Amino acid sequence: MKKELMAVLIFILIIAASIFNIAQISTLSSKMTVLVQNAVSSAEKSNWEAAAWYAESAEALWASHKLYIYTVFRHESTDNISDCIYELLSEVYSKDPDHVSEAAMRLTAYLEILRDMEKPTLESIF
Amino acid sequence: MAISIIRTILLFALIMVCTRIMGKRQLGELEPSELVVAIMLSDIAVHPLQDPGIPLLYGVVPVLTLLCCEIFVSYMVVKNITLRAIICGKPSIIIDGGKINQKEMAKNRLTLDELTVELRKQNVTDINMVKYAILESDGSLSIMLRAGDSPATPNQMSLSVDDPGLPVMLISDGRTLQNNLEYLNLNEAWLKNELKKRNISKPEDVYIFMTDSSGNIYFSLKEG
Repeated sequence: MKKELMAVLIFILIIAASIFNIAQISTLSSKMTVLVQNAVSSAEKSNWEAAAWYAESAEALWASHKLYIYTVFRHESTDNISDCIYELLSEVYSKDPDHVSEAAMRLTAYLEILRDMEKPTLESIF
Repeated sequence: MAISIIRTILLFALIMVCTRIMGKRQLGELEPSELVVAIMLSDIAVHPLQDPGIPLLYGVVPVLTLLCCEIFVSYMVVKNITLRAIICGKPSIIIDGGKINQKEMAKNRLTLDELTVELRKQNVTDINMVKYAILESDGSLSIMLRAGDSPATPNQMSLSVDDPGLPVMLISDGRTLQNNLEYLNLNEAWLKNELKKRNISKPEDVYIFMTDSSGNIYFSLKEG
């Protein structure tokens, strides 16, 4: 009976961890998306200082979750997002509003993919 | 993470069904759920090792999920006989009262060659000697010989024989195994005395020393 109880405990733990993971990546991705969108709208208004602040905040937020991200997600997916963040930053520093929008779109798309991959939907399971 | 858990459970169920459909001959002395876990574990565990870009969790979560599946299935088959028949299958009587059951042979896709090979492995060369042959749920073949062809037992011959009990190792490669001494209700003084009787000064000189509850002793000294 000890083994069975242990198995139930492990199963509950991994289910709880996976629910926590879904909540965590959804929150992180929403926060990142808001920051990126703010960066784009500031860039469109040529408020480059604010755009840089939002983009840097997005980069800082992503970096602060590095341990969690690299422990849970495929490094290929997380590396793509890191690349997009640095691309957005460089476009903001070059003060090019069109390229900022493009980089932001790519970044939000990758974030969405990462978030959706963790949601237990038919598409992600099969 | 959730996807890994769901995918593992789905694949576990799918491979279980396939293993059951493949039949007993594919099992090779493992129960279906054990075989499925063995097949899946070996592959799952290797992926994060081969590719540093895959987090270790991608190996850990499915392994833990499989562990839970296997324990749940084992628990359920112990508790429920019907479920046991569904998951593990039932033994098939291949030879019944000396007659080969062709229907069961076909059902288990067992050829006559395979049957005779299995019989020969158990030192049976003449099918006439076999009263019952049962294909067990783990894929092994159990054979019961006719009474006239079975080796006579001391009881059948009205002989009394000593029951030696379980042989237990007391010294292994020079080390005295205290737990085994206690198991036989013996002590080091007894062991030293037995060694002295055989002109052995200390346990360190002994490679193996075994005894049973009847006091039969086997020993061998270290070489060199």
